Amino acid sequence: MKVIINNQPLRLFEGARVKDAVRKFAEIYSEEMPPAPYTITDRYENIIRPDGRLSENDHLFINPKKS
Amino acid sequence: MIICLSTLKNLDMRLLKFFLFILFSVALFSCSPNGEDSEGTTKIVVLHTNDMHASLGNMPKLSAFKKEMDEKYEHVILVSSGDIFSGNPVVDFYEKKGYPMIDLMNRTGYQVSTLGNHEFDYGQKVLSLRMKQADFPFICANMQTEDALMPQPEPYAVIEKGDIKLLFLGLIELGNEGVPSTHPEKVSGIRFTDPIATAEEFMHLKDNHNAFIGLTHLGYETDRELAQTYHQFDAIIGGHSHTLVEEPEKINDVLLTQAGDDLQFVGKLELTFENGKLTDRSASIINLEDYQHTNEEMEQLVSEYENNESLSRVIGRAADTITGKQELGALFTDAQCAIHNLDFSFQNRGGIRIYQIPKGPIEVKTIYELDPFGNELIRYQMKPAEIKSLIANSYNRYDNIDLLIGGGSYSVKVNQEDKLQQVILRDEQGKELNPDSTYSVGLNSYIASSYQFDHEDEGKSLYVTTAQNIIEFIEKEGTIDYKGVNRVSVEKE
Repeated sequence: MKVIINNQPLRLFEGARVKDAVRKFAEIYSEEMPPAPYTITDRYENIIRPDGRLSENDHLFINPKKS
Repeated sequence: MIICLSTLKNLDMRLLKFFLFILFSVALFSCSPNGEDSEGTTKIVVLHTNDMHASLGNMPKLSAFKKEMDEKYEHVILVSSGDIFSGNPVVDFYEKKGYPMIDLMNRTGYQVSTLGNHEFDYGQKVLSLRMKQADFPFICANMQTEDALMPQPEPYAVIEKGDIKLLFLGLIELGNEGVPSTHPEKVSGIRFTDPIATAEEFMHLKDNHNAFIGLTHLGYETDRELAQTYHQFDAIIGGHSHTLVEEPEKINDVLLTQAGDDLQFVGKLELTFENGKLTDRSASIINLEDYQHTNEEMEQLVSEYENNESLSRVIGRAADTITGKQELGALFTDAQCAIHNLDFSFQNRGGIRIYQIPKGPIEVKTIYELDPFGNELIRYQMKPAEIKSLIANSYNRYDNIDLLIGGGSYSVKVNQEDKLQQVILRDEQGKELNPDSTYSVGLNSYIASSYQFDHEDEGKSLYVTTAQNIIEFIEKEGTIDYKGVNRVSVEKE
């Protein structure tokens, strides 16, 4: 399954959750990972919770949490 | 004359009283903006939750919030968009699995829930019992229980408030293999159909109802697709993707909403009808963590559920104390191999969170202390070279042994600087693997997502936690013995 985080493609197992995708992104693109705390949103700017299930071609965005 | 005057006075008083009564009545009903007023305006509030995953903690707050809404509005409905179960051992291992959630939902006043993929996790027999326990219907339009062990759910539910009829249509997500995201055995005998195509069969019902609402467990992206396909929906209340829709959007004039997960939030969909016609829709989110009121009676009940004896249930015995990462890792990995018929399984040392399991009875809670992270088991089909790349990368990650193995053994050869030179992988008989063969390999979701390794197969979640597998394994084995087990070694050149 392919998902896209901060415009970077990632390959994940079927049934992966948001937290799995974030872990993989942090592993592969560590230099692009914002420091905690951060928010995870979909392409419509809705917040996505870490346990959310992902589907093929989902787009996620990890950004520093606004204070 | 006096009599006449008196009569007239009495008549006037009666007329005055009557007039005042009429005036009062008109004022009373016209001052009830949250019910139906004299001009035929009706307001209905639909409270909704999704992906609660057996979170009990905020149910007393939700109950108090529902009561507050009931006092404020004449017409309030509480609904769920699925995934009620799975995620809290207190509920998942309760003597009657899932019972506490349904009990609390009944008491809070839920009126309908769509089936989510995790509703099947306890098996169809248990789901049938929970559906029977519920004071509300479970709905799902895109499943047929042809040879199943559970009853056929209704595709939709109609809730009437005054003269207003609201239809809720249930739809469940399907993974790549055409079944919901649960272990395939859990949905055997059930035929699922594409949710978006299936929805078309029900669009004609729009005409006979004042509001037509999707109560879906599809994920936000699919909800958007559903809205794009059918303008007939007035709103779609979703689940599955755990999306927190704080600023709802309309697609094709369909309002989309979803309320996060774990009962941290409740959604509030407000519908206004003028003479039965829906004229206004809005949606908002309430954070229950910030809500200050609670239902004390429910707090007491939740406390009783959370402290129930189910986690102290004995699932088996340790013949001897199981000590250290090697022995505990062997238990972890044997459980994954045995329960899912895998050739190999791996467990990272960091995921083993207690030092030992003492000799004697083993309780459910010990396994949750051993493996508390809720990691799911992921299955891959891998060649020996790919498995070796996993072992090599894990060793290089820590410059030490990290992964424990089930289904075989391995050794790593390192040079004088402890740098890895070679991985030797053997099966249970001690034989090296055929390099051209493919093996089924189980990894927990932490390893699968954060370790780098070669793999052609993208892997697939089996939608069951590694902790649940260990419990099932010990229950099947009865007595387990890992004294002295050591399947991993380092050889220095």
